[in-house]
Amino acid sequence: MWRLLCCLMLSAGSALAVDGAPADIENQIKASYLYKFATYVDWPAGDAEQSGAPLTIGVIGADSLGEELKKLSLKYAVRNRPVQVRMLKPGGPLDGLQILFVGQHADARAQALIDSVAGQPVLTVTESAGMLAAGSVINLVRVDERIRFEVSLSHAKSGGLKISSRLLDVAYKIEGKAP
Amino acid sequence: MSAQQKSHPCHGPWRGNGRALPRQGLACVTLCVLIGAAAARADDVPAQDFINLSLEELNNFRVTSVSKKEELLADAPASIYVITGEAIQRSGARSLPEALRLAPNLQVAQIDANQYAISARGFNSGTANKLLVMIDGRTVYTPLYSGVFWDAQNTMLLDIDRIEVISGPGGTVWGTNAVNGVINIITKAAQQTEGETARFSTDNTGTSVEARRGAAFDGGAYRLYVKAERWLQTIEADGVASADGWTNSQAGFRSDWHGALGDVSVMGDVYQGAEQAQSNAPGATRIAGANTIVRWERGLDDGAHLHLQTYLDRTTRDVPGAYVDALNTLDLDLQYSTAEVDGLQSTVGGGYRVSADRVDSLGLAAFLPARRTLHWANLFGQQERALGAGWRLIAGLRLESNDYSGLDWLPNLKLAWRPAPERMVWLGLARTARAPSRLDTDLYAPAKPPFLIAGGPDFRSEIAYTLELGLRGQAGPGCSYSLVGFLSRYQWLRSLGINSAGALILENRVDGQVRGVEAHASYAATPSWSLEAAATLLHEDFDGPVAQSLPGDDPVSQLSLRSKWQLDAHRQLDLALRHVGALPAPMVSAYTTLDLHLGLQLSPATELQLGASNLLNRRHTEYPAGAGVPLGQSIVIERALELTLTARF
Repeated sequence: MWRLLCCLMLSAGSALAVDGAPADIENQIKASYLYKFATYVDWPAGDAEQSGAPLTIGVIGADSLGEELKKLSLKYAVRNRPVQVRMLKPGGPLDGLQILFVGQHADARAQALIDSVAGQPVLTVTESAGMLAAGSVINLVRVDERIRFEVSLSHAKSGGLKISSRLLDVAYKIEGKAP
Repeated sequence: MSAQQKSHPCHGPWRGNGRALPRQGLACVTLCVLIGAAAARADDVPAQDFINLSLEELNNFRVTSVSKKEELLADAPASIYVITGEAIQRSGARSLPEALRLAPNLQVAQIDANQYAISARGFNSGTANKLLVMIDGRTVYTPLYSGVFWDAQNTMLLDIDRIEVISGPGGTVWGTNAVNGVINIITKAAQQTEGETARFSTDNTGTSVEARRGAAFDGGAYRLYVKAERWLQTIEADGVASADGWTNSQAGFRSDWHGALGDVSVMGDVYQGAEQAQSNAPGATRIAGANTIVRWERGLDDGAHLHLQTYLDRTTRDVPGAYVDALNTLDLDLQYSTAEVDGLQSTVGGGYRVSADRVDSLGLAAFLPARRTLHWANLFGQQERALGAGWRLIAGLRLESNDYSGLDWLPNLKLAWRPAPERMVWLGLARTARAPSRLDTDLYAPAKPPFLIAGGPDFRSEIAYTLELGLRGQAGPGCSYSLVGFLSRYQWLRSLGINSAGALILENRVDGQVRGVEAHASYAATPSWSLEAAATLLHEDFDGPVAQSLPGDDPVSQLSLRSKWQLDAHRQLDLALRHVGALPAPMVSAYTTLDLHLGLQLSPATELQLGASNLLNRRHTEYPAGAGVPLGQSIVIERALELTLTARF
């Protein structure tokens, strides 16, 4: 009996030693999705894109996802543009963003955040049920243990964003689609 | 106990007396070596491998991380294990008892094709009575023996969100009968099951077909499901076919919506089954039933929460040559929780249940009177207080009445300390009760005087005092662990005595002490590979007239090791190694089994699962056929191949 106990303790100990093993699959998948979205969304043509300026992703209410994105941004670019991740503070400026991710810890402020970039070419992404109705362009949802996404074409259009059909093919739901 | 309140309220059922389980010792060296190997592998796999998946692959990747609710549970100072819906799918389980094998803090032993012995912390038997089982807040015990007829409990396994298994006392929040544990089977909200899904599953023990349709409507969603199962007869150890094959079918619905005054859930099921006649019985056993639950939840302006639930349940069981039982139950529950203000959070609640049953005796023994209407009422309150410096104190009390033994008081006190955000130490002390059932008080034989068995005229509640010490935490990003030690003292356990007329009667003359350890560790070595190891150790001592039979037939040790490996976006390979120690009396040998499951995503909408179970031995017995019955008549579990096909439309 004691031997067994020791073993379990030992195993917990050996696990400790492996710091840095990524556990949070959900955040990794969501971070990868954000990269895909950036690839399959066209922003209105502007100077930034031509000059190879960084693509900036603002993250609020999702610290671990932000960390995951930062790790990715060190290694991967989107369409030859380096990716810059900005962890946003409540009430802080939202200018210069191409993507705004509002995590569920900021759900209470989501409406105000989305409203403040409404009409601007910012791809708003959320991760809670019903957030499309609050005005976001893409909402990540959990369906049958999988992370999927729903898209609002009308919100995309009001910000001048074009979403490729490749992305729409995979979407779980599409809102505002022409009949 | 805070997590228990958060998930569901509820109260008390019960179960009967019983029989046993298996166990014994497995090489702990293997365990250590395997976990060590896992650790070594961690740096081989780059953290960023999801970025290279295609959109379709991301879309199909099953997320195995803990859900929000599990995180809430991780905060509860109790011995809790959560079986996720995903784990059930990956295990290939075709029934609720098989799914419950995934919880290391339960003892699950198959008695025959339709009976299981399931318990926590000992006292296991085919009529185990110290574990409370609920499906969506509906108590599924029978007041006949305070236990669960597992053949009548079913739901669409694909729709299970999670099963919370709490070992240890839960009397304050859940009521009498939550003496050694609580099993909370929780199905998904209808919003999570939109679309059509069908599943076909077959293995050496039989075949299941199930289908579900779900859709949204303005403000809510609904689903409908049907399922049918056939279970083949098993083989006894002496090679004779056991007459225990059976079929069952079930249909049900669930709808959830946001109403103007709060969230409403309505659900229900109907079922029927037929079990092959035993050689000495005149006909097949037939079971049937129906139930419906209405739940209303409302968040109030000050952050408080109101929860109201009621259900109706009817269940019948016709055992030719023995008895016909029909039971109707009505239950009402109310719970009010305040928001946490200045470190203080309170929950109060109450409930009432009435059941009316009629047991017509066809054989030698009878439940007298044949008809009984039973009432249970309860009130409870619990308060959680932050003491500062990471300390929390939880104190609660429930008063519950029953028609046999009057009022039981069920207090509990817990002290939790969080020296660091990722680590918690807790101490718990509780008094719980197992209220009398009809088996304890109303069983007579023969059916007319003079009686040889004359009920239990003075039977009172069985009482347990339990002390628990737990440690739980995260060790590094992918590793979590839980270690719980417990000591329970039991008073007034059921025993057999003789009255002045020389007839046997049921009394409460056995005392007992049970102590043990429940340890569990999980480790996500890489994003796609995780390991889980668990050990449960148990030591039981009883005083009193236990010569005829022990209160349970329990293994001293239970060990398990599981590996879940996502080979790529389309394939998963899972391994489960389980060891269950020997049962003392009646004696059953220890066994070790290995199960293997391969999950294949054939297309975005189709999945194929292939499994092979009980690979290490040709056959094993998990539970004796009964005291005094030759072991050769116990059924054996054989090697099996499984195939499951799931299609979403």
